[in-house]
Amino acid sequence: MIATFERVAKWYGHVVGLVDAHVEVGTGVTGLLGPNGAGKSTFLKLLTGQLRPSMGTVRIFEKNPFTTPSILRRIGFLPEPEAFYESQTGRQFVTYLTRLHGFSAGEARRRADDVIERVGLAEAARRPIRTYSKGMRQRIKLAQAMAHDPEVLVLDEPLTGMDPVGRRQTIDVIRELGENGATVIVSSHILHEVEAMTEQLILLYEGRVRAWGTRSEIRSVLDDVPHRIRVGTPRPRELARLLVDSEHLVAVRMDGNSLVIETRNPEAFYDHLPAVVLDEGIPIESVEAEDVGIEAIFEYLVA
Amino acid sequence: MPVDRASYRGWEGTARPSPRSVLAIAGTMISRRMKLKLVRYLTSASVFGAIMFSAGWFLLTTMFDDNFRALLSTNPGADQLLIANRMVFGRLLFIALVITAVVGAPMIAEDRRAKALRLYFSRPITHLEYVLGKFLAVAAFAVVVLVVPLIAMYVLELGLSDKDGLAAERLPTLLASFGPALLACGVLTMLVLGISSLSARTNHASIGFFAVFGITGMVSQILAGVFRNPTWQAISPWSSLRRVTAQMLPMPELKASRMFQLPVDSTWDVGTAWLSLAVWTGLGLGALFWSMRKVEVVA
Repeated sequence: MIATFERVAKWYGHVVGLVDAHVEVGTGVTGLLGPNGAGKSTFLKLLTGQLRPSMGTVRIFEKNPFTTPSILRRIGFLPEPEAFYESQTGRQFVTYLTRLHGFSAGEARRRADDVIERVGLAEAARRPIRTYSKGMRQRIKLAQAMAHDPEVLVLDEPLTGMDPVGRRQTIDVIRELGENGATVIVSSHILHEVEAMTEQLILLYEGRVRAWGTRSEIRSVLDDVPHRIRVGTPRPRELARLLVDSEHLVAVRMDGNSLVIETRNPEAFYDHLPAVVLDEGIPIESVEAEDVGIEAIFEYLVA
Repeated sequence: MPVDRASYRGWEGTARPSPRSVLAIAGTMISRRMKLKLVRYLTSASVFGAIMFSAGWFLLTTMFDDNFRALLSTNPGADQLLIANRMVFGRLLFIALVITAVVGAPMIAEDRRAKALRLYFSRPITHLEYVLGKFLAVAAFAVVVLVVPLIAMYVLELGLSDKDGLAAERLPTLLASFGPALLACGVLTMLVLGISSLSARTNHASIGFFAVFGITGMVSQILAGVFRNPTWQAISPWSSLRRVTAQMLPMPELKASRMFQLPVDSTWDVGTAWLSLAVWTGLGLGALFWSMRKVEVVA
């Protein structure tokens, strides 16, 4: 294992940051998922030695990152907040931070140029950061995290503010890093972003690690919980009558001009629905899965 | 906002201070500050102002006849470099005060505001390296303002004089002038960094720095007047700095107008002035140490 948390707790005065976290992180990409305030940033700060745990031990490469700053040569970190000298160009920013890893000015410049090209910002590299869009800022932050070829990359909400193309490119870079043997820990509160990068997840909620493992392992835990689907129709009562005998359904209830359906097998329900509505000529305005969001999953986990 | 009082990574980091990291921080900070017009004007004003003034002084004292020289000093053979240094130093000290405020006040404040500390300390550097890098950057500007003009004046006197052996004769004076200049650099830099580390706003740090000098200056003068004891001036770091540097650069007696004398009250105890400087420097260092350990983190 590259990093381990053993019974780790962190309090900020009376405020809980993280409680009783026991996690092991290996190579490849690991998604750190949780809503805002779940303890993701605390987790990452502990991992990168910026905080000392109130209890328990954090190890990375078998060393305590808080008391061993030299271990940070092997770690790249992308913080969530903006942390720039706005008048610096992207190239100056990455070069400067790379020099702090012990590289000479020339070597740091060479690495900065390489990595800026890799994140697709070569054309904007000599522009001041104050002229960058939110997505470009995220990419230049990713560049500074990667410039010294770290074995572990810790990325706090790296996709925030990126356009779809930038998002795609960044996800590809992260996946490629994971496939090449790096350990990448990516925090996000958006499930599908993480799903696009990895199978390996750590789920945090209210400062506690609710589950960790592969996606299928965690999903299997949640299989007992029915999925909720909202179907918008002007004739909800008729639709309910037609669907109520379906073997996949657990519950059906009307909510204004829509029908809220709970099912343990959503795929089978989606297959079954078109046939029913086409036979009876019931107009359908919308079909929306209500509980695929991370918040819903956490609600289940907490329950 | 919850405050993590004791657990931000402190001075116990096991990495040795790396000159490369310290120089990288200092170099980057210097190049960023050099982009400010005010900084360029102040450094130019100090260096060229000193050169122009001393050129005039040396021309008067060196190139004209002995009678005119005798009018200005009691001894025609007096150390003209020391006299020129003394006359210029007080002005340079004031420029150094302003430039350390302009350069130093944002040094840590802007990192706190931009949350850049998280980026810094995700690198293999200790707080000591960070502070040393910032210290060197501010001190470099103070050195340019205080030391470079002294060297320029030394070179200028040698250039304008045809006296043999003057270089060796004046060298001790030059080296002796470095003492007060470096002392002033150290005190001003440490104070401004300490104040900068207490705020996340550059303006507040600048105002705080000038307020320390302004308020203590006024209070010390009032108390010295009320109690008829000039030692009260030791409350002010500015008065103490001027008292100590005046003592370190002893002025030969001049026949000429008092305008050539530095208006420093030399009647009060220089030991108290040294103590005052030690306390103010310690306060700056303490503020730095305290604020670097007390970093706000969002839960």
